[in-house]
This record gives sequence, structure tokens and C-alpha cells, in this order.
Amino acid sequence: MLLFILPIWAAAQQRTIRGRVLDAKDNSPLAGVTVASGTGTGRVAATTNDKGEFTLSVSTDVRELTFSYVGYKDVVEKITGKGLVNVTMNIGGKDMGEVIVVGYGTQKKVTLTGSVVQLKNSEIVVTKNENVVNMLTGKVPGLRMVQRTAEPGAYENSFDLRSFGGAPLVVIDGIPRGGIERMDPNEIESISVLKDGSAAVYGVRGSNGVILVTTKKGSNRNGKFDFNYSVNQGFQQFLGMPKGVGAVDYMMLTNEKVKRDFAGNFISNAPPAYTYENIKPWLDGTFAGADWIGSSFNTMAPQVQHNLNISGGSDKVGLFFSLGYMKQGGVLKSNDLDYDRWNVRSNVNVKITDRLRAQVLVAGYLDQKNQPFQDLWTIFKYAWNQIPINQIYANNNHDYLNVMPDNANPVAITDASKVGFKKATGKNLQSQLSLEYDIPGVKGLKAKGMFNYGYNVNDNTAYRKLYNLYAYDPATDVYNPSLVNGVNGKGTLNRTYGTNTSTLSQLSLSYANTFFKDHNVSALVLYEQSHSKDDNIFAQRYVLLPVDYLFGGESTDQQGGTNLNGVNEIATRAIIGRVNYDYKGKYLAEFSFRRDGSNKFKPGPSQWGFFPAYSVGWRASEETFFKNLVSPNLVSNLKLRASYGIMGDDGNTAFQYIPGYSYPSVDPADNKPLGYMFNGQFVNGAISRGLVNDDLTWYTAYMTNIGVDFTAFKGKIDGTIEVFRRDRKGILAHRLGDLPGTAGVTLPFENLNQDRSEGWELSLTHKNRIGDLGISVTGNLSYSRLINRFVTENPQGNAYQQWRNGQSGRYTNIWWGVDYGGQFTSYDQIYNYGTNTGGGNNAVLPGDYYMQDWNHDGVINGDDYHPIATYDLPLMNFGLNINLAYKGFDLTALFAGATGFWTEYAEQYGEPLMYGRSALSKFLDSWHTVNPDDNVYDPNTQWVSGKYPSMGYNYGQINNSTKGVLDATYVRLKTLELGYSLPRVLLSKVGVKNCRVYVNSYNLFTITGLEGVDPEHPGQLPNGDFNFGLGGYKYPLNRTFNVGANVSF
Amino acid sequence: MFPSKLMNMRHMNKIFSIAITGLVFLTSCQKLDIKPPNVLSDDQVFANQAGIDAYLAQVYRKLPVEDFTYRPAGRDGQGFNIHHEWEHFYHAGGACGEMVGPYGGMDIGGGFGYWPYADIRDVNYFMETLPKYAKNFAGNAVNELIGEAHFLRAYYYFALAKRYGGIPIIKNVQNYPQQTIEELRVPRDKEEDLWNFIGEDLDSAYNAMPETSVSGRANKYVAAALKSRAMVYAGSIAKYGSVNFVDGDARAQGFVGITADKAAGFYQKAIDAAKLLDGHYTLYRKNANKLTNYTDLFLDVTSPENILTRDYYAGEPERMHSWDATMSPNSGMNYMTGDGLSRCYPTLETVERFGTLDVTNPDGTPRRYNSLADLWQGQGLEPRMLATVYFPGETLRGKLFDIRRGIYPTFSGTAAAEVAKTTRTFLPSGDHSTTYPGDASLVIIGNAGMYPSSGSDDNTRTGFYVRKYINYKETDIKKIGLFSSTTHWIELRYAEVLLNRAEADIETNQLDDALLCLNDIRDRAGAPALTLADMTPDVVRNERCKELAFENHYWWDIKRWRIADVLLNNARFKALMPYFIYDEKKYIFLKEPESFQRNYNFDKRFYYEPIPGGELAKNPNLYPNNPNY
Repeated sequence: MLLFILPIWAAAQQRTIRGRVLDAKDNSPLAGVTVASGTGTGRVAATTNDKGEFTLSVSTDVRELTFSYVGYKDVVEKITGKGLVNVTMNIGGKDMGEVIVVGYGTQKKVTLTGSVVQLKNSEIVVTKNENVVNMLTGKVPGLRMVQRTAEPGAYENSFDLRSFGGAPLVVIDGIPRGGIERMDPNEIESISVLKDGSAAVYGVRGSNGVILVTTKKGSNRNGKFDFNYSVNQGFQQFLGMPKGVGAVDYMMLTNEKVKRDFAGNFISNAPPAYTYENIKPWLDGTFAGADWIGSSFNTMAPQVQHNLNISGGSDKVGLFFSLGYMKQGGVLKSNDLDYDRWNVRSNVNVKITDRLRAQVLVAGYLDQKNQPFQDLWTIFKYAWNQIPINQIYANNNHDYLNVMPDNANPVAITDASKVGFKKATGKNLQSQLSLEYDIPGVKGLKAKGMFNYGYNVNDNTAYRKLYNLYAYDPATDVYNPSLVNGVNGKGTLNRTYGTNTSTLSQLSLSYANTFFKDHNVSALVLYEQSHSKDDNIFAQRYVLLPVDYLFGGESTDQQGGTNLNGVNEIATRAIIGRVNYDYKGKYLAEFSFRRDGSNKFKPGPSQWGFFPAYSVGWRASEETFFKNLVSPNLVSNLKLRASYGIMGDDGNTAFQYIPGYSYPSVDPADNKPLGYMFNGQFVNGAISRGLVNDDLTWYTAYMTNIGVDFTAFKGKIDGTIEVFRRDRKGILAHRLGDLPGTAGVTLPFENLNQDRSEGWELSLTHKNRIGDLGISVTGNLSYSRLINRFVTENPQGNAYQQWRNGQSGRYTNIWWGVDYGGQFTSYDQIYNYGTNTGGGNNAVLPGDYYMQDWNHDGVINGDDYHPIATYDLPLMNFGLNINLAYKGFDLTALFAGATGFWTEYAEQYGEPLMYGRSALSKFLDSWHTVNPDDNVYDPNTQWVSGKYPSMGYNYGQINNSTKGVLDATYVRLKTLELGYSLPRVLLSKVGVKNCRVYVNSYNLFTITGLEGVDPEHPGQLPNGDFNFGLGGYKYPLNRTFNVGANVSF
Repeated sequence: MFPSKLMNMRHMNKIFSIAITGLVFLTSCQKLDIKPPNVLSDDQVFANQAGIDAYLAQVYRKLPVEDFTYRPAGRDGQGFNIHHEWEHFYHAGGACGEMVGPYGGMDIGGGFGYWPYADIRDVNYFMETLPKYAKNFAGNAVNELIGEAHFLRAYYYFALAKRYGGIPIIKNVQNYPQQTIEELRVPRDKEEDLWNFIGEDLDSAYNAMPETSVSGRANKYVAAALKSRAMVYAGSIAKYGSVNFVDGDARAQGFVGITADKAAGFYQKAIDAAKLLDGHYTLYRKNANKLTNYTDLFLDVTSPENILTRDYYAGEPERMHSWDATMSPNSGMNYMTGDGLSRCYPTLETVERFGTLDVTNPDGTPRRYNSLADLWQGQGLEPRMLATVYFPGETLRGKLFDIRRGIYPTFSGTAAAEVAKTTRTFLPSGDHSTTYPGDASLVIIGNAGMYPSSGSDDNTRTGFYVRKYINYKETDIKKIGLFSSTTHWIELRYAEVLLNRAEADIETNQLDDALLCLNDIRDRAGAPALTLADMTPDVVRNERCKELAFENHYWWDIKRWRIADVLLNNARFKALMPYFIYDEKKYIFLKEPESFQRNYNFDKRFYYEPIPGGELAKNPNLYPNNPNY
């Protein structure tokens, strides 16, 4: 039925437009030019033939056509009454007019001299994730990114720019307050990343680069408004979730381990921990082992995002309003782990008079994370190492959860109705008013004033609930309850409430004009000041009643207080200036500065710093001689640019100049007060801050960047090559010749050390259109490393120690270790092995790993350590973004990857039967004796080989070896999206302007050499920072499958 | 220009001027002279008693009290007051045969590099700064507080002296850069001078401090009690360190070692200091039942025997200790504790200091017992012995110390022959859920019993558990867990002062006074009185080992008596293993090696710990290091 009606309806509304497209320069016909009406999904398009001619059928209400051709500037032409449209087109890339957001302003991309990368909204939102930061992966050359976890509400990434070593400053609509991760991606217009001296206008906070986020604003649409609705329904799978061994395997593995126990008696094996009688009932099915992992974790969890926004306006008022909702489920079978977030944004522009404009930006979010009281990492630990012969339920009676070692029954500790919960909520409001005024009398002079107010609240509740575990006594047939999880046998309820209030205001004068036709000048001078205050309060009560509010708690022994670290007051003032000059858009120069002051340093002149930046550019392609030399058809744009800027880093230096006492002194490990019991009362201690350095100041960074931008083959190829170097001076250290300990103080910090990051970036884009198929491929590759140029340090005892421990002039994050040799395969090999692997090789068995004696001294020890890898962020990152468009279909594939990246498994991933607990099933592929009761120390014993050594092998030996430290190089399909825009003719009947539906996947597949874990999921570090990977028990990353739609009304 | 347009222009200017003025007004020039709100100054801290308490709370917290949380081999460079330490089974007694535990051999001999000069500086700074604020305090308060500071400083130096011998004595606040690094590279002081300095500081403290103090805090008698301890240490180092020593430059220059002729003087100071407490403190005798009395002595906060206690804070789990949870069996099933696990157990040698346990018949066969309790019930054992260790068959929180090494289906032969066998026929078990084949009510190893050598070691390896300081009054198992114990640690108690005095007496031949002290203690312990004829150094020492068992004295005592290298010479310690004989339905007890199978040795150089290596690098004037390091 529909099929019949549609053509008739369509015919009645359509008319045909004809025309011809010529090159403006030589009037040659242009073939392959895209002629289109409308935008988005309502687009109707045709291409010109060899003679430059086209025919296009459009609906009668279409007023104009857009002509676009790779390498040429777009042309928009009105449709005349006759239906004939002839146009001429000029060379010049489409991007030539692109405007880039930079610090405190915008610049044309064509005359930009700094290292700035800008992503548009469409490039960001194609990646479907809860965290905007993860939407940047693979898209920004020089951005080093590791996701670490997909824990709902955790927003945990390790990332930096160019090995700068710290997170870049995030500025949203001019306000440097961070919070990008909690934004709704649909409200973002663009994201700019400043990687060089262009960040120097952010002064003492700019040295790690700057990320500028610009939100969408309403524009003049002749009083019309678009209603856009998008929905994304995702399904999460969890990467790197292992399997555990079953009951019989557990007992067999344990027996193998016991046999090997050298502490007992190695001549005759120790008796097995589980006799055949013990194992038999599990073997014959009388008893069934517990599936701890399966009973604790989901294999799939939902995730959904909705966004409704309104955009549009008239010549007086522009409006953008956005409302977003996001909810992410978690891996726990109890479904007690989840996160949701509401985002709202209202951006209004008003033209008050011809000269005066006002802008009101208001944005906020509400979010909430729920989880069981138990720390998540311990849930993974206990689920993965729980012994399968232990039962979930006492006597398998489902009314009685069984007592487990450490009272950690995974089915109980994942269940908030048992252990209680932790709930973290956040509320954030950002609002700003700005007025802009064109000052009469001076052309191009504008004044602007802005005031911003921000308010943030974190309101968290932790409810530690008592619950029963049961031990079944077979003798009496009684389930003995034990009430667990309490403190002094009581539950606790802890509430913390923290606020941040902050203001920021700016006044500026800007000027832009062109003199004598070719001399373009723009200038800005801006005053900025800000104030920010953090405060917090907490209260805790013991709770006996099952009430999860403070009022339900006991008034005796109640606690309250303030977390000292959460009390801050920061004030800043700054003057920012910038002058840009270009001659005919050919010779470019920029100078900027920031005079930056804050209360973080000693009051007076030393709290002020001056941070200038200089950059120059030369567009060689604008030179006549260049055009004569190289055809613009071959190279249409070639720009050489260089920049130098001075910046600061005040991260660790704030308030270090102040002597006195911290009171109450708190334990850095748990933020609990340190003190003493006098007369039965706890007295908080006051702890001296020791010697201080009045002159302490920020680290200073000197950043140099050289870049080449080029466009070739009529815009089909776009590329950028950059090299950079950042030298930092004045990094905090204690001066050499440390004070003797008897002085009782350490030297205060001084600005002593120096480091350097350097590297290069390459980015290439190919754009083409073959008939109806539009192709865009962008690849980027970057490499960077941080080098300690100077570190205050004592000379080491010998040349090896100097090499091993000396840091000056050395790369950072070197992973020291030994080389893996192989696996012993026979007793003879062990007996004839000349190197002592530790303990005289008495306890070595076939299947054991051995290391190489790197220094040939006959023993494997710390002296064999040499650099084998690096740790933390990857040295090299790359991305490949492929976009295809064919008629209504579009396909995006984004590959992201890294190399120069290593990891080491920890705990259950790395070792079977750790702490006498269970093992992951991968360890079943291990060496074992042919007969279970064979003596492992008898040279006649026959072995079955396997991938892993026999049970009881000391896995500590492979830590920091090339066996233990694994190459985590990976390439993953970070994003795959296939979309289809429904034909407009269909949609307009139901009042819909555009509708696009898509399927999408995040982390669809990963190519890596690692087994069983995700390369981004952290393992253990050589310097033993447990919190880095939480023993490998950090919440896993996810793979998501999404379906969704974007609809405009 | 038309007037209206002019008007409009003016109008616009006005709007903008008002708006800009408004913005500027809102944000009037931001001050940058703002100090962080979370830092206090001397003016605030020395303003009143509360500030002083806050200052001293930090000093007391860092005091080297070898309490429950003390870890003699250290952890992350710390041994005292370790953050969130729950593994109290890292007990000094577990490294030297008083108990056996997680230490393998002599892990604690080299110490952990204790070097508390930052804390000493805090005390010196207090002494120098307080007088500047004297007007804030009434009466004799400043003088008394300075006296308290002398006590605190002596405490730190005592902990240093017993580890290193002579180290630099710093009496004043040192400053940099006012003093050069060269100036601050101070040399060691002689060991004798350091002990004398400790004595003088404690005398200053005694003279200035008041007679009484609140719980947890020192008074003049606390200073005297510490002096009795310190001086008896100095005396024994002079006497026995002159006989058994490792030679080296440090000894030749007097940085370690005191000449024997100084011994008597130190011993006499110990006696004099101890006698100062006469009439002010008495042994705890509140309960007529000697066993209960001795048990409660460690739990009763009102005990007249307590001289200085360290109290624990019931409000914060992180500030409580875990003695109960780590000294009694949890058995993975919340048996006597709600969580935690044990790993340090009294040796048979320690238990038999109180008297030999006769578990063998004259023919060498193990004596048969109807129940575990028959081992100790009605056997006339010393009440203090039973109050110090838990025997198999006792109960705690309604649960039985149900301990079996395993079950013999049948048993014959002598105890000695059985223990000597390489292959034995008893059934062991790897967990507490495995029952004897065919008897579902009989857990092979008992609910508080032993794993095989390779399994988890959270149950006794000697047949005994520690009883001292166990809070048996808390009968609710769920309230006994990690960081749930608030039992105070008695750092100085009168019994120790009597034993210090008795030891100094016997070393200076004042036998009457020694006997007086010992019989006071033995009477309270429920042990028969001794006579003058019994008075020998060994008897006094044995009494000290019994009375102060598991109180972190034994390790220091065998060191200062210079007998550690003899006692711990390839030493292996014994257990009393209970077995059930299934066909006889009887228990036997076999004395056999404890099942950790640890081998203990003591290197003679351990009589002194090495000066921390990092300090030697920063200050070459600290050389010579102690002998053989």
C-alpha cells in the first residue's frame, strides 16, 4: 500500500533542477561535484558528470543547493524560478574556513600557529561510552590513554598528553574546573586540545596541556527550533573475567603443591592434603563444588543513554537546551552495583541591542553510584580465590549462607541487603553570565565581561550492615549463626558531605582589524580572577536497627568531623594578553602572555609568575614562487610553524612554604585522625610540618613545538607532522647531602630537578568521494618519552648500582628485570644446570621456569636486573579512523592501540593456589606427575608437561622477568558504528525531520598477546604500588553492544 | 547625527556601564594573601592545655612502646605504631623460642633501622618553646611539663640504647640552614654516657613531675619505674657484655660495651629507683582465686599494679588492636573469634618453665587420658601457668580448645619410638570440615586443631595458645575480630619493677631484698615461696621469664644477659601434640618438634643492631659501625 502511494505523493511535491559546474579559474567543467539540498538525513544529492552537468529532483520547498567538491570551497546557490543553476567553484579546502577554539578565543585553522587539535561533536559521539574521556581515545595524536576500568561511576583513566606526566587542565566554556568525564556528549560542540605553547595562556596550570570543551549554543534559524532526541541502549560484556577450577581439580592441585613442599621433607613427599577418600565424594557426584564466580557475577549488564535537546533561535535570541540521562549496570549478580546521571544544560544568547550581546550558560548534573559496602576489588579477589569445596550455603541449605575464611562469602559480600551499601551522590551547578559590547568609535574593538558561579556537592553514605553467616554442625544438625561485618559487633552508618563553591570573573578588551588590506591584527587583553573553597563534614553512628539513616543510629560513641584534606581555599588573579598578526594570511606571528598569581605561594611578588609564549608560521603555499613551483592541484596548502612557551605546574607545590602544624594529624593511609588516649579519651595530635622552604615555587616548563601542515591532491590528503620538546625545571626534591637523621628533620623541598618530554606526532587524513561513496580515513601515530635530565641523588656504591639506580639523564619508568630462559624439561637438565636459581636448585622440578644469568656470575639475583620494559602509560599510541558514507548509510570504524606497553599479572591471574586458596582454570595446564602419588623429587618420576610449572613453583621468581612482564601491545576496534538515515520523504509524513538509526560496539575485539586479561586493565607495578592495579582485582573493562537512534523534529 | 540615535547610543553605553560595574562589584579584587585553613601555628598550639595535649598526643603516640602492634623486624621501615597492623603474631617472642610463629630463624636480629630523632626533636622543640609561652599556663604547669618531656626523651633514648649501644645524644633543637650540614654530622656518644644520660633525664623527670597522672600519661613514679628497667639493662650489659662480646672498633672506642666495673653502680641505681615506688604501687590481688586474679590483672584498668598503660580507642577500628583475633583460633569458621587468624604459639619449653608436664608412663608409652582436660585439670599446676597459656581442653567463649594433631586408628609402642618414625600412621587433615571416616561427629583435627605442615597455619603448631591479655570477658564471638580489641597494654607494671629490683639485688648480692620481691610475685602467682637458699641469678631470671612471658621482654632479656647465642644455637622448639586413639577412645600427648619446623640461630653480632645504613651514608662521623656489620 505504502509503495503505491509514496511515488504519487513524492511526484506531486518534487521538481527537477538542472545546471552545470565550472572551475572559476579556467572555466573547465568539474566532474564529481556533489550537489545537494538540505542537510543531515533530509539530504538529496547528485554528482556532476564529465561535462560538469547535473540533474537533481528536489521538493518544491527547497530554496537553495549546496555544491561541494574535494579541494574546493563550498558554494551555496539559490534556486531560481527556472530550475536552472550554474555555478563556478574556487580552489580552497573546505577546512580553510574552519574555526578552532583556542585559549580565551578562537582562531582560523588556516592561520593557527600552535599545536591544537579539535574534535567536532560528531567525531566524539560516535564512540558510545559513559565517559567523554574514553571518547577521545585514538582520535587525538599525542594523547596517551589507558582506560583501566569500566566500573560504573568510577571514571578512572590514566592519561596524559605527550608524556607530560599529569592530566591536562580541562576548561569547559572558559571555566577551568574539570568535569569533562561527567558531561553528556550530546551537549558538546567541540573539544580542542592545546599541546604546546598555545597552552601558556593558562599559566601556572598549563604545563600538562589543556583540553578546551565548548558546548553547543543556539543559532539563528529564523525563529525555528529543532528538537533532537537520541537514545542508546547498550549491553555490556566484561573483558578478562577468568574461570576458576572445580572441586576435584582444586584438591588435586593442592595435593600436587603439598607434595612439593620443601619445608617439610624433600626426600619423602609430605602426605597429601586430600586423600582419595576425601576426593571421592566430589568425584562421584555425591558433593558438588561451588561455582563462586558464576554465582557472584553477571556476564551481561545493561547501559542506556537518552538525550533530548532543543536548538535554534531568531536573530535576537538563540537557545540550546539539553537534558540527558545515563544509567550503567554493573557486573555483580546482585545488581547492587550501578550508576546513573542526569545532565541538564541551558545556553541562551540574547542580542540586546545591535552592539550589546548577552550570554547565559547554566549547566548541572546529578549523579549517583550504588555499590555493596564491600570494596569491589576484594569481591573479585574472594570470588576468584574461593575454594570450590567450600559451599555457598551451609549444608547446601539456601536459607543459610556459609561461613567463609575472612567472612568473605562472595554471594553475601556482593549483596547490599546483607553487607550494606555505599552510595555516592554528586550535584553540580555551573552558571555564567557574560556581556559583550562593540565599543563605538573604534572599529573591531569589543569589551566583554563575564561572571561565573559554580557549586558542587558530594553527599556519600556508607552503611556497614551486620548479617549472619552460618556454620553447620553435623553432629547436632544445628546451623550456628555468626553475626559478621560489624565493628564491635555493631553496624555503622557513615555520612560525608562535601561542598565546593567557586567563582570566576573576567573582563576583557579585544580588537581585530585589517590595515592596508593585507595586515591583519588582532589583540586581546583580559583580566581574570577566581576563588574556590572546599569544605566538608562527616558523621558516623553505630547502628543496631536496620535503618540506613543517621537518626536510626545510637547516640553513644557517635563521631563527627571534617576531613582535613578536603578543606581548601584557592584564590587566583591573572592578566592575559595576546597579539596576532598576519600578512596576507602568509606570514603569521603570535605573542601571548599570562601574569598569574595565586595564594598557593608565599604572599608577595613570589606568588606571581609571568608566562609568555611566541609562535610564528609561514604559509609557503601562499607564495607565488611556490605556486609556480608546485601546482595547487598537487599541494594546495603548506604551512610551517613553530612555537615556544613558558608554563607552570603548581600541582605538588601548593602551600609548601607554610610552617606550623597539621591538626588534627591524619593518617595518610585512611584519613583517620592520629592521636593518643589520655585519661580514656582520644586526643587528636598536632603534627609538625617540619622545615619549609619560603622560596618554593612552581615547576616551570619550557615548551617548543615545530609543525608542518599540508594539504595535497585537491584536499584528498591532509596531514600534520609535529615534533616537540618540553623541558621542566624546578621539580621538587630534597637537596643532596641530606641532613643526618639526628637533626630530626629532612631538608625542605626545593625546586631542584629537571626533566624533559619529547617526541613526535603524525596525522594523515584521506578524504574522497567515489560516486555516492564518501570516504574519510584518518590515521595518527605518536611517540613520546619522559627523561629525567637532572635528579638530585647520591652517588651509588658501584658502577652497576649507579647504572641501575641512577636517575639523572635517564628515561623514567624503566622496568628492570631478568631475562626468561625457558622451562626445565627433565631432571638431567636440572642436575646439569650450572646456574644456581636460588637454594642450590634442590627444590627445582621439571616444568619450572628458569631465568638467564645475565651477568654470568653463576647465580640469578638482583644483579642480573637490566631494563626489560617500561611501565605505566604506553610509549606509542595510534589510532585509525575510517568513515564511509553511502547514500543513507554510514559506517565508522575506529581502531586504537598502543605499543611500548607492558603489564604483569598479579595475584590470582599470576599464581595458582595463592594464600592456600583456589586457582584459575588456566593453571590446569601445568606440569604434573603421571601418577598423583609419585614422588616429585625422585629422578625416575615421569611427568606430563604443561604450559605452567607444577604446583608449588614459586611464582615470585618470574616477577620482573621477561616471563612475568608481558608485552601488552594491542590494537582494538574501539568503535564500530553502522548507521542508516531514513529517507526524508518517509519521515516528513510523521513530522520528523531526520531520523538515523545505528548499531554500535565499543571494544568489539582486541588483538593482543595477553591471555585472559585486557591490556588496559592494570596488573602490578615493579615499585609495588598496590593501588595501581589492586592486585589485578580492579573492576574489569567492558565491551558494549549498542543500538540507538537520533531523531529530529 | 539624529538625536534619537544619539540617545540610543547613550542608552547602550549606560546599559553596558551598569553591567560592567555590576560584574566588577560582584568580583571586587581578589585577595591572594590567604593561608590554607588547615595549618596551625605555634601561637595556637602553645596557647593552652588543649594545644599542649595535642602536641604531646603526637609524642606519646610515637613513643617506642612495644605493645600489641609492635613488630620487631619492622614493616616498611617502621616497627612501632604501625598503621593498621593486625598481624600481632609478628611477636618478638615468636622469633626466639618463647613462642614459634611466622618468623623463620632470626629475622629480627638486625632490627628495622629505628632512628627516632624526628620525635626527639619534637621533644627538644617542646622543651625550648614552651617557656616562651609560659604566661599561658598557671602554677607549676610549665615545670611539670618540662619534666614530662625529660621522661619522653629518655624513653626514646632507652629504645635506641638497647638496640645500638652508644649513639649521638641530641639535647637541643638542631636547625638547618642556621647550622651547616658539617656541624650537624655529630659523632656517636659512648654507650656508658648514653645510659647515664637516660638516668639523668629520668631523674629530672622524677624531680619535676607530679605524683599522679591520668591514665596513659607519665608521672614521677613512671619515670622511676622506667629508670629501674633502664639501669638494670645497663648493669647487665656492663657485667655480661664484658664477658661475651664481639670485638671491633666500636667496642674499642666505647661506643658499644661498658666496662664490668660499672655494673654494680648501674644495678644500685636500678634498686634505688625501684624502691621509690614502694608504697605507691602494689601487685594486683583483687580476686582470691589465683588463676582468675592473674588473668584479670591484664584486663582490669583499675589495677594498682599498672604504672603506665597505653590505651586503645574504641571509636575507630583503625585505632584498635587485634590481639584477641590473632591469638585465638578462628579456624576459618568464626570458632572463637569473628575474624582474624592466629600464627604464634607458646613453645613447650616456655610452658615447662613453670614445671615439667609428665605425659609419659614409666615404661615410655604415652599416658592415656580420657579427655584433653585431664592433662591439666587437678594436676596441681601453677595458677599463673594456666593463666598465661591456654591448654588443650580449656574453653573460651563457650568453645573448647579442641585440638588434635590427628587421629590414630590404633596406637602401640613408646612415645619416643613413635616420634622418631619417618612415616606415621595417624590421620591428618587439611581443614576443619573433614571428619573421621565413619564418624561424622569427629572432626579429625578438632575445631581449634592443627593443619598439616603445608596447609594454612592459622591454628596452633605447639598445642598451646596464648592466654595473657585475652579478653575472655567478651563472650560474644562476633565482637572479637580484627581491630576490635581495646584491652590496654601495660607498658610498666609493678611486678616488673620488683623483678628489676630482684635482678639487681641478686647481681649485687642483696639476697634478702631479692627474696622479698620474688616471694611477693610468687605468692600472687600461686607458686610456693622460695627461701634464701634458692636465690640464684637463674632462679630470678626464670621467675622474670614466667611472670613477663609474652610481654616483649624475653627477647631483650636473653640479649642483655648475653645468652641468646647459646640458647639459639641451631635450636628447635617443641610442641605438646594431642592425638586421639580411635580404638581406645583415649587421648595421648606427644612431645615432638613443633610443626613449623623452624630452626633458630643467633649471630653474636646481633647483641647490637647495625647503625642504619642510610644514616652512615649521610653522616660518616657515625662510624665505626657496630662490630661485624
